[in-house]
Amino acid sequence: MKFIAEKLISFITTIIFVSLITFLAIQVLPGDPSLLILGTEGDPASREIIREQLGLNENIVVRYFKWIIGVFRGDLGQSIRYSVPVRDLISDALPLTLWLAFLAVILSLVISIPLGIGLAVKGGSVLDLLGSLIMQIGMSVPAFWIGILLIQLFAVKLQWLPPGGYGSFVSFILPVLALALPRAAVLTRVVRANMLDEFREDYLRTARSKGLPQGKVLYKHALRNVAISIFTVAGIHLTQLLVGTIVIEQVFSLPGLGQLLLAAVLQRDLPLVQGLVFIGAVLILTANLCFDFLIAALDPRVRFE
Amino acid sequence: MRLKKINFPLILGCLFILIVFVVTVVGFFYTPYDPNQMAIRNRFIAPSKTNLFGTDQYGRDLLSRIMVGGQTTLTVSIIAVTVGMVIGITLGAIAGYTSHAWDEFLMRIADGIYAFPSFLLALLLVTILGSGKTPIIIAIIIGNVPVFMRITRSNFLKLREMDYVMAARAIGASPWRIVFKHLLPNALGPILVQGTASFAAAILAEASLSYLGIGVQPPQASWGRMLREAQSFATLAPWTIVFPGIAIGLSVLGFNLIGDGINRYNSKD
Amino acid sequence: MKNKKALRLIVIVISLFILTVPMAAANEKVLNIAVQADPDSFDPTRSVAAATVEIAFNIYEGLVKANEYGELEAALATHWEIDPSQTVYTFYLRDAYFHNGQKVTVDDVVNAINRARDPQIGQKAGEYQAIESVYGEDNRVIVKLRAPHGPLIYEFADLAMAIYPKDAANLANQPIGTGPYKFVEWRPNQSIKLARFDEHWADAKPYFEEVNFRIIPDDHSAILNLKTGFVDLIPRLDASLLHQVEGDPRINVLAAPMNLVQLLVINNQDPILKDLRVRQAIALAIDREEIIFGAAWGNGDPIYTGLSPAMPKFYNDSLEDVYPYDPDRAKKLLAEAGYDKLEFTFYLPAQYSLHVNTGEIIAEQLNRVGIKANIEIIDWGTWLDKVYTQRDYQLSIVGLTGKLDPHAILVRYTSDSSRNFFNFDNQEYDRIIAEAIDVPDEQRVQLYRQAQKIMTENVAGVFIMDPSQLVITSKDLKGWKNYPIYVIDVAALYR
Repeated sequence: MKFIAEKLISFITTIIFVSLITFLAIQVLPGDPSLLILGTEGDPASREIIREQLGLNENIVVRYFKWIIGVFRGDLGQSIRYSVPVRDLISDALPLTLWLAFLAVILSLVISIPLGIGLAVKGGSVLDLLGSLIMQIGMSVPAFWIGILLIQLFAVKLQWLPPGGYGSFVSFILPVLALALPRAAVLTRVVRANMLDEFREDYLRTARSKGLPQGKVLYKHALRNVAISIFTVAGIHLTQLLVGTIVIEQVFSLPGLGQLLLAAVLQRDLPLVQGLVFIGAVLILTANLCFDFLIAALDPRVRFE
Repeated sequence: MRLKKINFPLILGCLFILIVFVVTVVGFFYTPYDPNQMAIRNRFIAPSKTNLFGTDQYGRDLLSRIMVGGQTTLTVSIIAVTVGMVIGITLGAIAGYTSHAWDEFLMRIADGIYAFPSFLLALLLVTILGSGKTPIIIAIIIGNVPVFMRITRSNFLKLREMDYVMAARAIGASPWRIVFKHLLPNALGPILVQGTASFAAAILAEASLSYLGIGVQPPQASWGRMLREAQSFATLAPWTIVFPGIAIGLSVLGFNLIGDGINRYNSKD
Repeated sequence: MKNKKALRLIVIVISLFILTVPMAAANEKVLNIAVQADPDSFDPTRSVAAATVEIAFNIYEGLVKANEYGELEAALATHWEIDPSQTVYTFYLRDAYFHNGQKVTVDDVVNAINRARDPQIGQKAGEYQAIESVYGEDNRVIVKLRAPHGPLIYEFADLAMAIYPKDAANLANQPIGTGPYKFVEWRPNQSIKLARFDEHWADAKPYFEEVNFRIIPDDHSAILNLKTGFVDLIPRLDASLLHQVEGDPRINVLAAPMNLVQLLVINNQDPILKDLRVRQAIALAIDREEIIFGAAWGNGDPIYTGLSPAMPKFYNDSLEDVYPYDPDRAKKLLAEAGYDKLEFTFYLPAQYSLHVNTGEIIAEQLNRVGIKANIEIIDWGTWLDKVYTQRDYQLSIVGLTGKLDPHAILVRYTSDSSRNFFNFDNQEYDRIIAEAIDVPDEQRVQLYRQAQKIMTENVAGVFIMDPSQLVITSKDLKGWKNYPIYVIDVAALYR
């Protein structure tokens, strides 16, 4: 119980902290949003009207509380650029980004778990060394470069797959691949290292000596411990995955959160940037909290630390 | 079996970083051509004897631009990681060696910052300060501080209870002496490993942000920006995407391998 | 057992996924167009972005409408009369219906025009101050002017003067017009969907039943989408990507002048750039041929004044040799002015790759005569703030979109214009533009040619090119109409 309470408290304080940073950072922007609304043909009088409408002339503390109260009511304000609620924009773009991230996670797990185990079983051999080197290369190459190369190969040269855009299921294959490959490389190393540790553990030796078949031993006992370590690094991965999707959406022109965020940043759409950064951070924090609980459920030691 | 004795990752990693460093540093004094000199009618010359890596869409020499682009990437990551490391270690040492109250206070803040994805922070800063190196450097520093704080603190907490530290304290050694003589040197291994990981991450971050067009501005070269500009011409001039990508990959790989090597070295002790 | 469960879960997830992702429609009556940016607002009184105009052209109509030759045609008015004093315009309203089924009334028209010219509401109200009053009589709308103002009639074709129901509430997101296509849905950052309006007054029905404007900011992906059939039309392709479509048997490429004036914008009031010799030196340092080859890949016509040759009647074609490319003379002029090393800040608008590329080449050309131009790529919002509104800049590059009448283009450079961000100040020029408002046509032509000569000789800016508009379509798409204004005429297209 104490564990859960502590985690929840730090979760909430962090969210307040994040909301403060987001709000304050945006408030010192030099650009004037009323200009963007008016474009090339505005004049000072109409600008003042717009500033009044947006509440830009109010006290900063009042504005923060107005904003944060609105957030709790599910109201993130109105996008300046698109003049629709920020919430609608985010909920429109969110599914695509979540799918992208989710599929990339699944794919990287599907690749890395068997591969990591395989390399661990062959531990120390030339094959293992070669595999490790390839994994190192895989995690060192930027995902967007992989994306560019994948487009060249599969979309331009071979013309098997669409190069991007939001057309159909198949248009997801390349971006997910570009996103998953570097992740898979990292995870393979985690799995391999953990499996090697497991092999040294007594219980595995015992199990083996009892004559349990090798495959069953591996999966039953060792995988649970590997799962714990995967979930432990998953927090860091989620953050990197979010970053990855922002860039990958750019490479493949996918209209998800990343493209929305970049457009909002470049166009100085204050409420939209605020909403996106805040929601992005909250998403990551929530996912991390879930992983914490998951690890605690799997690994009783954590709860009593 | 003899394969295992040689620390391959460390050697390879150092070799790669050495290559990148030498090429970049030479770029300060000598490049085959002026990296910004356009010769538009010589655009997209394939790699040849005159232009080893070929030329780009303005006829600029790609090798020269990669040499100079490395300066951007490396200065950004060296400044950002070093400053982040120094601040992080200092604060981590304070948290890990002084009072419990300080520890609580500093680590709460560190947790808050740590939770804030530094890439989002970079985007926020770009909106405030405009595109360029500064917001990227600041974001990487801020992202790195809590990381080094945590590592230093946890190692200090562990080492503080060691016999030889207790003994030093008992004979009345000054806190400075204890920190610099006993704690820091013994915590260095994990800090260094984190340092290489931070370098690798910083290089990737700079490349990604420049790829998004919010890093350094033209005509200044940067590997990420070169990829952004070259993407449209990938079919016409494949070398314009191949070489900058390799440059990024090689540097990141180098740091990752060094980190791996140090890890292996430490675990052998 | 566990494995089977997991497998089942994965199958369920993937099939859910396939269901939620919209499949590409293969309907031949559906047209997909790649556009670069979202519209700003569909409210005619608010909108200023070219990205809006090109879509809204199909939704809204004014009393009159421009055709592909830049001439006025009947739209909601069947015909119109201008009295001999040139101050009373009478428009005869057509029997037409709005997309919501309401009949278009004289009151709707009066309301729309009055809002457009109200400085509290209309974005372009400043341009309509010549109008004294507007009122309706039967099926006629009468517009009274304070004084003759020849160019005004063209403004009735502008989006700002579009007609909408007077009780319409949310035009910004739910436009209601009378055009051949009605608005269906806008998914910001993704797409805008229009459907054919079957009650439109025109006899001929457009071919396409549904039109999707897909927002694809990156031309590179737009091309790849065109090749895979997700998009049928790219109305304005970045010339540097032409190589990716040339020779492709599935694709048609059309090139036409855009009526866009791309120029190196110079702040004429900057302490250093105030010196005419410095501006002349800059003009002499610019090699247009190299820019057109380098940035537009040969797809553009050099221009030497603030009007595009796409307006042949008014274009002054004798200004080519005022400041030819001559770096030596440029250096001499700089020395004469007492500068051997000059440094300027050079803002480039990030959104427009043609301008950014042009800027990179110009920076290099200026470098050759000893001027250092420090490029700063800024977003459009900052550009509007710094360059356009505060006029706090030294050099920049931008494209000024075409208008139907030269007055609307040239009036920008008059010293008291709110849109004169060049800070160009020439009394002779002001006088000529004012004089040209109500004189017979031949005289107008002469005056405008003279005005162009003044702006070129005094280097109001360095005019670079009218880039070709590169229209890329799938092979089976026909009927593209090229307009001197920034629009896409969907109704003319067919397969």
